[in-house]
Amino acid sequence: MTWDLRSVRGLRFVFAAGAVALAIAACGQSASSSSSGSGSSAGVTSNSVTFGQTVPFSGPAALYGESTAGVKAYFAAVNAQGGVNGRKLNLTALDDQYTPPVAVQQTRKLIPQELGEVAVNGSATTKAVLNVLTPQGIPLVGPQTGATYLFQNTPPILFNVWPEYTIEGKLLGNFAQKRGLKKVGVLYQNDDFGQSLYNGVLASGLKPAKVISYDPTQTDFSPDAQQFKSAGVDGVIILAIPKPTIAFLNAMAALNFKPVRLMSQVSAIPQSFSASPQEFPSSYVGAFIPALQDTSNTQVKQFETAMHRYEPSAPVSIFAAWGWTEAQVAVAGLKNVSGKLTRASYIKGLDSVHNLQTLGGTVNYSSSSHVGLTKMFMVQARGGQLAPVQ
Amino acid sequence: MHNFFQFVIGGLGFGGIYAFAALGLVLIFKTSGVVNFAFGAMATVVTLTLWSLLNHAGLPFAAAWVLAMVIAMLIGGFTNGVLMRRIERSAVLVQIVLTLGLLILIEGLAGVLWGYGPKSIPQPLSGNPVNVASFLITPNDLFIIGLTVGVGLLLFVVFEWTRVGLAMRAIAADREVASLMGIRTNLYVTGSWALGTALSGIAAILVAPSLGLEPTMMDQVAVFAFAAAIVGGFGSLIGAVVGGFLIGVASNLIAAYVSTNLQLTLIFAVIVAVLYVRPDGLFGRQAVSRQ
Repeated sequence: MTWDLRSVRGLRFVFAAGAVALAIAACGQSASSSSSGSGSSAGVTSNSVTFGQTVPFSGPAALYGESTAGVKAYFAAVNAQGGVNGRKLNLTALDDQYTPPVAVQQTRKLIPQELGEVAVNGSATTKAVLNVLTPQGIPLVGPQTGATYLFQNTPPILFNVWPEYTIEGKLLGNFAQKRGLKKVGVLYQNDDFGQSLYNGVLASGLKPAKVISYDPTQTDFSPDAQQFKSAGVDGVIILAIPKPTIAFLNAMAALNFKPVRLMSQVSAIPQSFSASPQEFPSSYVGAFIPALQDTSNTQVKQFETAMHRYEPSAPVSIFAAWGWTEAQVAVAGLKNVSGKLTRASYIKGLDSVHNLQTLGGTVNYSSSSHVGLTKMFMVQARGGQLAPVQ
Repeated sequence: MHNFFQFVIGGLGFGGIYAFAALGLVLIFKTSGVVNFAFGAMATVVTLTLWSLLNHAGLPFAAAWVLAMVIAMLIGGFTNGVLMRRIERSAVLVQIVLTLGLLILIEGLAGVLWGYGPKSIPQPLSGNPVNVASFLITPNDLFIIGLTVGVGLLLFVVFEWTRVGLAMRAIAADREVASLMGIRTNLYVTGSWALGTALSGIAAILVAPSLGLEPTMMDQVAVFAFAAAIVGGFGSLIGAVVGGFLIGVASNLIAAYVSTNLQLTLIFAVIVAVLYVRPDGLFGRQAVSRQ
C-alpha cells in the first residue's frame, strides 16, 4: 500500500479529530472533588476521607450514572453535620462507559487516592473491578447489581447492598400467582443478570406458559410480543434493562395486547411506563427502594430533602436512591472505626454494621456474612411513577 | 399460517426503518464513494433536535419535523463541506477512520448536550392497530411502509430519469470526468450528504418512539441498515428499500421460529449466503473495467 502526501495529511487530520473525540469522551462527566491521600492510608488525611466510584456517565447505560448524585447528596448531608470523626467525605467518580476494560483502567487510577469504593455499577463491570480490588484488600461497598456470583464465595472486601436477583425473581413469580394470573409469560435477558432473575421466578414455583430470552442487541420486539399474545398469556414478567423494556412495551401496544406487566426494578424508570402509546392498566415492579412519592416515609423525606438541597440539578430518581442507600452503608462502616483509619480497619468497621436502617431497608453484616438487603416488595406504576400497590 | 403472516407484517414496520437508514447510507456512497459509519449518530442528533423543538420551542409535530429535516441537511452538508472534502482523495481507510471518529464524537457531544436518559417523541400516526384482512397493523406501521416505498420510488425516478440523477450517476462513475464535463461535482456531493443525512434522520425519527430516544439509539439499527444495504447491493436505491424490508421480515421470522438470541447471527449468515450467490447483492451491478 502506498500513502501519498494527501493521505498522510488526511490521516493527520483524522488523528486530530480523533484526539478531540477522545478528549470529549474523557472529560465526559467526571465528578471529582478529591484530595489525594497523604495520611496513613490511601484516601485518608487528618480531615478528609475519599471514596472512589466507577459508573457509566456515557454509553448505553449512562442513565445509571444518576446514582452518583445520591452518593454525593448523602456525603454532603453528613459533611454538613461535621463529617465522620472530624473527617469530611469526598467522592471521586469516574466514567466506565459500562465497559469492564474501562472500569478496570479507571479503578487503577482511583486506587492511590481512595480508601475504598462505593456504588460501582453493573454486573460485568463489578466483576472486573473486583479482580483488581480483591488482591489489594480494597473494600467495595454496594455494587449496583444483585448478580448471583456476588453471593457465592464473597471476597472479604465485598459488602453487598442490593438483594440477590433471585430474591426479586421469586417475588415477581409469587406476586403473579397471588394475583391469580392463569398464564404467565417471561421475557429475560440472556446473561447473568437475566438468568439470575429467571431462576428466582422458577424458584417461586411458577410454571411459565411461555418463556423467551432475548439478546441485548435486539431492537424489534414485535415477534416476542406476538408469541406471548398467541400463547394467550394474561401476564408478562419482564426481566430486562430499560432500553429493551421500552421497545417490548411498545411492541405489545402495537398489537393491542395488554397483559398485566411485572417488571424488574432495573428497568423501573418513568420512561418505561410512559413509553407506550396506550395506557396499560396494570404494571408492577419489584423494589427495595420505597415509592419516592411516599413522603410519610422518613427515609424518603430525608433523601428528597438532601437531593433538593445538595444536588438540585440532579433528578430525584430511583438511581439516585440506589446511590444514597449504598452511601448510607459506606458511612455506617466508617463510623464504626474507632482507631486508626486504614482499609483493614474500615473492613472491620463494615463487618460490625448491625441493624442499620437505610432507605432500602435494614442491613446487617458480620465477619462471615456480607449479604446486604434481603427484603423486597412490589410497587405499582401509576402516572409514570412508582407508587404503593393499590 | 396466520401467525406466520402476522410475523411478516410485524417485520415490515421495522423493515421500513432499516430501509430508510440504508437509503441514506447508499445515497451518500453512490456519489461520494464514502461509507459513512457516523450516519446513525448524525440521525440521532437530528431526532434529538426534533425533541428539543417539540419540548422547548413548543412547535407542532409537523413543523418541528420539517425544521429537523432542514437541520439534518445542514449537518450533512457541513460534514461534507468541512470534514470529508479535505480527505476525499485520501485512502479509503482514512475516510473510514474519520467517520468512525465522528460517530464517537457526535454520540459523546449528544450525551453532554441532551443527557443519556431515554426521551419520548410521538409517533407520526398514533392510534390502535387496525384489522386488515384479519391481520393487525398499526396506522404508524402503515405510514412507515407507505413513506418508505414512496420515497424509494421517488429517489429511483430522480436518479434514473432526471438530469440531476444523470449528473449524480456520472459523478459516481468517474468524478474527475464528470467535473471536466461541467458538472458541479462538489455541489452534488454536498447535496447527497445533505439528503442522505435527512433520510437517515427520518429513520431515527420513526424508530425513536419504539426504542426510546437517547444518544446511542441508532447503534443497533445501524447494523441492520448496513445489512440491508449490503443485501440490496451497496449502491442501489431500490436494493436498499427491498433489503430493508427483507432484513426486517427475516429478523422477525428468525426471532419467532428459531431464537431471538440467534437473530443477528442468522441475519449475517443469510447475508453471507446472498453475497456468495450474488457478490454484488440482489440489485447491485457488477463493476466492469476495460483493460
